[in-house]
Amino acid sequence: MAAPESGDGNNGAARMVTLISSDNTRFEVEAAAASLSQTLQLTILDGGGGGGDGIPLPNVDSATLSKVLEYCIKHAPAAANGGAPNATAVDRAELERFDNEFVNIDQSVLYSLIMAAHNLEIEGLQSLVAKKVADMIKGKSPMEIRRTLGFPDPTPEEQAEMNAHMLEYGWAYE
Amino acid sequence: MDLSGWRIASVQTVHAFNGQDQGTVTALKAAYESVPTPPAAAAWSTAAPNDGVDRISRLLDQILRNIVSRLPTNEVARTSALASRWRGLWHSVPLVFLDAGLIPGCVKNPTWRPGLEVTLGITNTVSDALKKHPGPFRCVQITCCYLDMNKEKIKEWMQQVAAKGVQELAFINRPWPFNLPLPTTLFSCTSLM
Repeated sequence: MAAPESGDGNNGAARMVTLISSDNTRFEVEAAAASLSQTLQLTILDGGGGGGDGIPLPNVDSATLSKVLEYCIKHAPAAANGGAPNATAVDRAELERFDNEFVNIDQSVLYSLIMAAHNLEIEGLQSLVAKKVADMIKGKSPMEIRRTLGFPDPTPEEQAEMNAHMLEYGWAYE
Repeated sequence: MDLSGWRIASVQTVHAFNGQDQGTVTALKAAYESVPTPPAAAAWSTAAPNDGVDRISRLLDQILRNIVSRLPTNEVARTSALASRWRGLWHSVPLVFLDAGLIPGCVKNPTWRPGLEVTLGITNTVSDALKKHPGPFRCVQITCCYLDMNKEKIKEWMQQVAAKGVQELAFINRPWPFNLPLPTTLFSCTSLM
């Protein structure tokens, strides 16, 4: 297999790169989609990840990587348009629908996505998952937040600190 | 002066202040309408199923700050009750403070404003939040308080926001006087965008 020509590969077919998850699964995706990752972008620009060489991602398992790539593939066309100034309202609504559905997942997957988005520096995904956690916190009392996020039950000292806080920041609880 | 051109058809009635004429009410409506959307306004959604493992607390501070910075001020302040890990976060995130966010009626309808008696309690909260947060202030919107009653407070608030490097400031006095003096510190505040 020939090495990809960087930059001017205008033969109709999009340039592909291979990413290798921590459990050694290989994922072949369009370079444009993988390049949403700031971490991967330079390597890909330098021509890495093509042909038989994959880019190893020792911090990301295959289940998480497949989810991350689903996001990247969906968002790559809009990102290629420079934040999609030409996008129609329908396109934007579709992306929003996709995003809402995308983070409708259980917390262990959400946590893996947060870590992967951070390690791979995928800005849109970092915002999406942070917003999801913020939404989970919203409108709840500290005890409800603790339960939602799976904190262990508070120790008596922690409980006393929480009560003191509620007194000091009374306005935050109105 | 004819203010009829300012009227916006869909706006609901603002709670009238005694002695406020129709022109004032109309102009205030227009002012509330034009307050910019604050950063990090996020929509509600359902919670992810929780399996009883506290993973979120294991996240890096940088990630927690990204999460917390998307919450309104009173909610951020609430997270600092969670655990020592979260306590410093409220202070380490640039402040986005909206007095309207403390009044349920304003959250539901951004152009509605409460009567004088409700806002008296809010002014203390504004003072408390501006004093306790060390800055920087990303965005401060004070649009609910009857400031004519609180000339000393205004001076204090404006000194706080100027000293803590406010970037966006929306400030609507109620009910109306144009001749309300603003502290000069505000005009020498270089962080305002």
